[in-house]
Amino acid sequence: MSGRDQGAAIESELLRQRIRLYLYGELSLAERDEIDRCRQRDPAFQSLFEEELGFLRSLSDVGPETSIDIDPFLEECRSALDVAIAAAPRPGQRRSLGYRLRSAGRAMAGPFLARPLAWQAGTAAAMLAVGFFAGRGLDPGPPFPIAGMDLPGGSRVASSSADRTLTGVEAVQLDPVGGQVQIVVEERTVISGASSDPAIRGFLLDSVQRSHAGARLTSVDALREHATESDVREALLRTMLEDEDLGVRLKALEAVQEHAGHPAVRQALVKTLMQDPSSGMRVHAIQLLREHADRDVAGPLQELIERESDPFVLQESERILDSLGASTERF
Amino acid sequence: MRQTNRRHLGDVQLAKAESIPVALKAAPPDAAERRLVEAAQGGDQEAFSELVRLYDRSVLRIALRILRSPADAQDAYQEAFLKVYRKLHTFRFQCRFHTWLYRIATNTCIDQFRRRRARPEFTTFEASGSPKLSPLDKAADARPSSAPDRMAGSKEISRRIDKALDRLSDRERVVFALRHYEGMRLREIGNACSISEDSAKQCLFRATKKLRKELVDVRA
Repeated sequence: MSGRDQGAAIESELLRQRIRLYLYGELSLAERDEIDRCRQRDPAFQSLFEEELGFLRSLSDVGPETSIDIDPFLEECRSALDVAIAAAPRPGQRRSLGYRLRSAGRAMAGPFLARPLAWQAGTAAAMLAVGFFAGRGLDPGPPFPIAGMDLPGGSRVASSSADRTLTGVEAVQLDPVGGQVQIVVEERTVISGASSDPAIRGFLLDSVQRSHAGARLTSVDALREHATESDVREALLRTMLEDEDLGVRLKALEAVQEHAGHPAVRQALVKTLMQDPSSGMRVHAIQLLREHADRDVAGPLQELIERESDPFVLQESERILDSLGASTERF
Repeated sequence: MRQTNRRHLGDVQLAKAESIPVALKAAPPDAAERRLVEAAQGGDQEAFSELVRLYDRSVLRIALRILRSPADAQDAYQEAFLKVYRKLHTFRFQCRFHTWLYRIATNTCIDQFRRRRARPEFTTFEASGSPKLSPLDKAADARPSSAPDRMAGSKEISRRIDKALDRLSDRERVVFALRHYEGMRLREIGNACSISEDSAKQCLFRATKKLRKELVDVRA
């Protein structure tokens, strides 16, 4: 192929690529307009366009579609999946805070729910009455301690307690045939206990990920003294790297700073240096790394100094590299 | 396995003269999806089932497109959703749930394809010498417009397209199937395949160029 032919082939392929992007709807409006203008102006381009359109259509019209009727096949797949999921072990998931609270509520209501149906209507009426009086501003009664209640996963709240308050009745349904009443109530549960309590720890680990920034901050603080334990340390490091709130990330960094010699913590500090948008976080991280510098941080630091904008971080990085006998250049 | 003569041309036909439609079901709003995922993470089986039903049609179609074997597609479908079930608690909302799901599904399909290729009984057109008929080849075309000669032509073209697709790399085949047949945007494909949008685009270009070369005389 001569140089000119090769050039023409490349140009043709590039044009085809543009046309394909046009046909797939991947071009901007301006780019589409440009293609449309070219089609109107240039018959050769229009011919290329039609050729490409015909080619893609041919792939669509007689493409390798299976002849399966998708609906019954999908039903078959769903049934098989349902069976497989039922047989699968429960995922090793940490229960969400909401789930835990609902479970706590169910555990507290257990004595009522376990009673025969005849009692349920009476219980419902009693709860309605509580809701009614609560709505009138009357105190619904003393806190409901739940020390010893069961939580998911078989753990028990040994030393903690929960205060339960009805906050409103969401819905009431009557069963005209059975005569039963179903009431959906909202309630607020306050659980207290030592942070060393496994159940409380579970709540804190959930809260650190799922609640609002204030609660996340306090949860990190409460977990701080347990940072030697791997699940807590992991949660704190994740928070340090991923939390959207700078205050929470800083708090998490402070919570693990005494363990900066731990490889996982050092690795997370390096990640913070490389990716955290806050220079405050990076300054804090580099200070901790300086105290626990190891050869494994040399590479990331060499990469960092090529793009770091904060002079302190830059200077500290160079100092650490120097102390490690590593070059500040990257080859 | 029940097979019919029905074809799903509606999904892949050019809706207008010059555009290719998005065939995937539109995802629900982010907030609604998030609520469902959170409930499923909390152990709510109903919520998990609802998530499955929101996206499983797309997942099955993707598996059928990539693997082109109902039995393998069913295996991939099940494997993908079981992975999602087991790993859902690790999902941190760093991307939309369906992006995560499609990533798992496409990777599962690629793994399945590689396993299948490693099986001694799996033969491509090249290896077997005689064409391995796809379900489409075996089924009669029920379209009113079909005529015996046209049908025979279509089957031949379909067989050749199958053969051409087999010659693409795994990644090229996945990208092409997701873009051309499933109507996914290149950005979404990039997310699903853990590659950049630009890589997905280049992959698509390579795939279409190879297909064009293989199918130079094919026209609809």
